[in-house]
Amino acid sequence: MRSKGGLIIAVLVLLVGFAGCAGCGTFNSLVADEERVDESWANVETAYQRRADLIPNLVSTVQAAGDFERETLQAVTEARARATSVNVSAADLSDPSALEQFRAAQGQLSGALGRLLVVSENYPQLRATEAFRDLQAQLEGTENRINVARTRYNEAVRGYNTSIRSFPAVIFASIFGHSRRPPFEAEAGAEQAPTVDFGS
Amino acid sequence: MRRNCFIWLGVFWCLATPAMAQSIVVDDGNFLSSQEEQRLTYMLRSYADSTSNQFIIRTVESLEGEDIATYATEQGQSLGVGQEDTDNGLVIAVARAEREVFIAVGYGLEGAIPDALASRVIRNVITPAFREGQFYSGMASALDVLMQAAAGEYEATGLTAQVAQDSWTVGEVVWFVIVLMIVGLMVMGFSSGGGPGGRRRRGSRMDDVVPLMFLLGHMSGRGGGGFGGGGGFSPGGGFGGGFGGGGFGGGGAGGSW
Repeated sequence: MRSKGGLIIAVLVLLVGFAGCAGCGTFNSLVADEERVDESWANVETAYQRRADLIPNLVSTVQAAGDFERETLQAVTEARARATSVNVSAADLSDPSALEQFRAAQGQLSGALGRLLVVSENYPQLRATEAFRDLQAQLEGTENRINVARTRYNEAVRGYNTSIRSFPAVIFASIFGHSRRPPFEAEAGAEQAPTVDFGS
Repeated sequence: MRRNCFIWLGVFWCLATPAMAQSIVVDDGNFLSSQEEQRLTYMLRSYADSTSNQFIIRTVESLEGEDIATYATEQGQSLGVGQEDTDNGLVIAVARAEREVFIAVGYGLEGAIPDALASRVIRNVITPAFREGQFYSGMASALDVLMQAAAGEYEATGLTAQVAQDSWTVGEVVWFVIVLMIVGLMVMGFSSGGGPGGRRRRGSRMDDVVPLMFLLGHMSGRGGGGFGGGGGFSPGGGFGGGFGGGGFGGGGAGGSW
C-alpha cells in the first residue's frame, strides 16, 4: 500500500515538474517574442529618424539652388518638427491610438516631401545638380528602409499575437498581462517612394 | 577498409555541399551568355575570397508586380548574403520586363556604399550601358566601382573577422576538452575490451574518433562553419561555406533604363 502511495506521489511530482518546465519554456518564448516586437519597433523608429535627419540637408540644398517656393519648404520643415515630436515608446505599442498618431504625423511628412519633389520638377537646374540627385537617392533609400522595418515589425507582431493566443501561452499571457499588439499599417499610398506626377 | 571509405566520403560530401548549393550569379532573365556568367561568377568568387564581401547577381524575366527594391532586399536577407557578423553582402537585381535594376546593400556595407553612391553607379554606369543592350559590361563595370568602394574599407574587417571566427572562445575550448576526454575514455573502454562480451576490434581506433569529431564539429558550428571556421576550407571566408547569413535592411538604390 505504502509503495503505491509513494509511486503516486512520485508521478505527481514528475508531472508538476514537467508542467513547470513546459510553462517556463512557454513563458520564455513569450518574452522572446515580445522582445522581438520591441526591437523591430526600434528599427521602425530608426528608419523614420533617418528620414527626418536627411531633411535639413535637403532643405538647405534646395534653398541654395535659388529661390524655391517658400510654402513648400516651410510645409516640409513644419511636418518634420511635428513628426519628430511624436514618439511611441515600447510600452505604448499595444495602444492603437498612439500608433495612429505616429502614423499620421509621419504620413504628413511623407505628403510634404512628396509635394516638394513634385514642385522641384519646375526647377530643372536644381534637379540637374548631383547634390540634389544624391539627396533624392538617399530619400528613396530611407523610404525603402522604412518599408523593410515596417514589414518586419508587422511580421514580429503577427508572431507574437499568434503565440499569446495559442494554448499553454494564453494562460501566462492573461496572468502577466500580455495583450495583443496592433500592426503598423502603412498610410495610404506611402508604400511607394514619392513619385512625380505632372498632372497635379 | 570499406567503413573508412564511407566515413571519408561522408566528411567530404558534407564539406563540399554548402559551396555548391548556392549560385553567385543566377541569370533567369537571360541577360548574359554562359561565358559572361562564368566570368562574373569567377570575378565575384575571387573577390569574396580576398575580402569576405559577398556580392551576388539575380536577374529575372519579370517581377510580377513586386517592387524591385523589396525583391532585391528580400533575396539578400533570405539567402543571408554576406558574413553573419559583418553583414557585408550586396545584391544586384535586374528585371527584364520592368526594365528596372536595383543594388541592395547589406547593413555592413552601407557605410562604404551609401545610397547616393549606389544611385550614381545606377545612373552613370549601369543605365547608360543597359540602354545600349550592353548588359555584361554594365554589370562588370558597376561591380568594379562597387568592389573598389567596398574593398577600401573592408579588406581589413574581412580578414579580422575571419581571424576572429577561427579562434576559439574559452567556452568552446572547455567543451572540446570535455568531449575529447569522453571520447578518449570510450575508445579506451572499447579497445581494452571492458564489459561483458567485449567488442573485438578490427579497424584502427580512428574509426570511432573520426565520426565523433565530425559530429562534434557540426554541433558546435555557429553559422555552419564547424571547426573549420566560417568559410569551410576556403581561405578568407569567401563563398566557400555558402552564404554567411548577412542581413539587409533596405539600403541601396535603383533605377530603370
